[in-house]
Amino acid sequence: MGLRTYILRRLILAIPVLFGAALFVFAVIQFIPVTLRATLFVTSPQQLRIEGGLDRIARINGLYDPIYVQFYYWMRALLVDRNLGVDIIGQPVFDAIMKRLPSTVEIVLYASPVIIAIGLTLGVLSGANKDKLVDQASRVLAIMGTSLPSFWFGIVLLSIFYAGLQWFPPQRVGIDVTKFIGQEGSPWRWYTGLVTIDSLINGQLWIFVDALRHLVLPVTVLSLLNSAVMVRVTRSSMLEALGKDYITAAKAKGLTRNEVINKHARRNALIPALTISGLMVAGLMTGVTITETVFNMGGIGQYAAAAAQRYDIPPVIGYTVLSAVVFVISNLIVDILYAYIDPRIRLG
Amino acid sequence: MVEERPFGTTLLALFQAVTGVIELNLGILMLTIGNPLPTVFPSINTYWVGLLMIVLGVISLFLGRTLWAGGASNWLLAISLTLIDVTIRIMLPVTYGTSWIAFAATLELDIVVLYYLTRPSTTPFFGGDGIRSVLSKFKIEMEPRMKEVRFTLRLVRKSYLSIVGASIIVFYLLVALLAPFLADPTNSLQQTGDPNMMWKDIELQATVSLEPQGPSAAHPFGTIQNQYDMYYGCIWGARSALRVGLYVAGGSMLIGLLIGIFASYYGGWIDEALMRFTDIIFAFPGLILAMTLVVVLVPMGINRLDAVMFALTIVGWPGYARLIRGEILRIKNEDYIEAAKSVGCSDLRVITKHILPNSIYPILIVFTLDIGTVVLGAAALSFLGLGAPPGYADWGQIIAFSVNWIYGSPSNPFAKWHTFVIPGLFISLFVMGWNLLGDALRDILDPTMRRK
Repeated sequence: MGLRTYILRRLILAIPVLFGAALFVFAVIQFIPVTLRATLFVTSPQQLRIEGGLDRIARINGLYDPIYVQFYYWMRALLVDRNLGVDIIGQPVFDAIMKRLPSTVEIVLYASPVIIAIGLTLGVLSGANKDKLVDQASRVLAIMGTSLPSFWFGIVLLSIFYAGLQWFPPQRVGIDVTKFIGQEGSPWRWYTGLVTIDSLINGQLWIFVDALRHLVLPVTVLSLLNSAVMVRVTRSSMLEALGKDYITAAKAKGLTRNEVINKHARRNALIPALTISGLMVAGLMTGVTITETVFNMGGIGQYAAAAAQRYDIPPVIGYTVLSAVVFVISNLIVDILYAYIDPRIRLG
Repeated sequence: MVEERPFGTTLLALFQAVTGVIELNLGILMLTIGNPLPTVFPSINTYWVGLLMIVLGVISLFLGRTLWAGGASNWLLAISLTLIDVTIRIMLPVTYGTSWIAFAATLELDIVVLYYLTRPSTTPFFGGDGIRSVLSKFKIEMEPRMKEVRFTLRLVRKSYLSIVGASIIVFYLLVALLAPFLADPTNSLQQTGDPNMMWKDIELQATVSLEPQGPSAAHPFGTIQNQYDMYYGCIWGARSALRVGLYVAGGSMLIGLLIGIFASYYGGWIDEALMRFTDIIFAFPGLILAMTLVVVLVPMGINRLDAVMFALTIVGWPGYARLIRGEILRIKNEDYIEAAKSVGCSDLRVITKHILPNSIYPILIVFTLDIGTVVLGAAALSFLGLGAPPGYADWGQIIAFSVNWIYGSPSNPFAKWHTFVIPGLFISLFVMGWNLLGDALRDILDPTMRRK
């Protein structure tokens, strides 16, 4: 089986999962009573005063139709019109998510390389130096990553580095930057929506520095706690690789320890570590929901969490659908990468 | 040589089976519809009594089976089961106020069982002529198992981390058990009628309003926002954490085991359908799906805590189902399974006697690790404002209350440190205990690792 057939097969297998996920979310929504669901379509108080009230709204919006018809309309709204409903203040959920997406992307963009760097380097090092100081450090990191509540870690960091030392403030940008961007006739132009990149394009170095200062703490929380799993997986696959016969052979032909570890063991150990990066995406998405809330970053995670607090259903459903799509696609990419790197997968 | 079953034993076994079925039905009715017999069980907490009824039903059925089968190991099992049964039956009227008369008849049945098991004419069926010979037979039958247990205990003693983890867990169990003595619930009962709610210091609230106060004689850990007593919250929070952890991890494990065993043993389209369903649940990041479920369940009128536990269980069971399925597929074609089938073992016997004991260890390890994960997830939901109702003794919520006080005061930015440091330590240590124990158990219980 060639790589292309493999990719095609994986793509075809991912579609039913996505469809099933959509069906599942739809089924969950069906548990909400009809009258409550009808209120989601209310955009102004006048609508309620018309004869029939909520019942009429439910009928107009097809909530009394057969389930499969409703599912068809729901899917069509999702796929064709990109309509996820409106939130409690009457803003379309899709627009709200799109508006907040850059902030989340920015955090993830900085956190992922850090996670991969810490995970792989520390994993390889602690695997190669079992029970040495590095290994003990990685063990402590792993215990921290699995035992500390991320929101608590964030609060402690804020207390030290914001309240105490005044180094790294919460929120996305400082008040000066908000004023500068918001003022009339501001030279600021949005290009990508990411403050750190746009500030460089705009030539405003001070805004870049300010945005970085605001990113330090959320990125630290996300990357420290999420890299723990990757460190452990890389470590154990490194240990496994070091026990193989080809390592003994490499040592026997007189290679130095560094050559054995870097050329023979590490390359083989990194393959299993790659599969864990799919899990990293899930960890990041959950992490983003909480970290954004702690640091008040205004991304999609915070938007969904704030909506959940008010039991405002459409934003939460929209966020869930979005995260499922992102998660399935990233798992797909990981699988394809895995097959590309390790021919045994696609041939076996 | 197989002894013939004495008539009394047959009768008792059948009696136990019938009692078991009745009690199971009663328990399920209580949990789902409500109190079926209000005259017999006046004003009871249907939730707890229902659960205990199910436990009693299972014990009775099991007891009936052991009486029916005979043999030395079953003899001892029957005695212990009867004793547990008696304890629960006495506990029910004492703790939950069910009427004594309802249990008098079943208590008598237990006493008859105990009497029968020790009678010289019955003991031959259980492998001896008198109690002493049954005990010595039992010892011989159990010797290989005891040897394994002793070996395991030696490994436990040698593993430093497992001791640390286990002592942390024992500490929290003691705190949860002794909560009424460590933190007096009188104030809470007076203010809310529920010992699981934290109490407020009304006088402090009148003088300083919202602002958390540092540790003092009246409040050893200080107070949090709204003048809730933090010491009380941290102590009773151990109960909430254990409850959420054990219920959710236990529930997910049970559902996962049932579905996983069912799917893998029978295979075919059932397997395919169930596994595709787990794929769908796995398509969502767990905590986000749990959040959605809570948001949908609570407006339907479901209690907020129940909604959290239900949501986390829905997210949790597919992991167990997949794990047990993999294990079973691995050992399904082993020779000893073939052998058991070829001598005519029923499906149920093959599963319970041959497959489960050989695949249960990975499940137990994941279960231990899962308790910590579940508690962290529940705390995160609490932090997002989706967990326990305001004022409930729950560590996640106490931390959520501290968010407004990260910046203490201009003169001392760390003035309110206690509001987040103390509950954070409680929850981190709790989760760490379960994680350490789980990691150590992996080395101790895994049959491929333990003898290395």
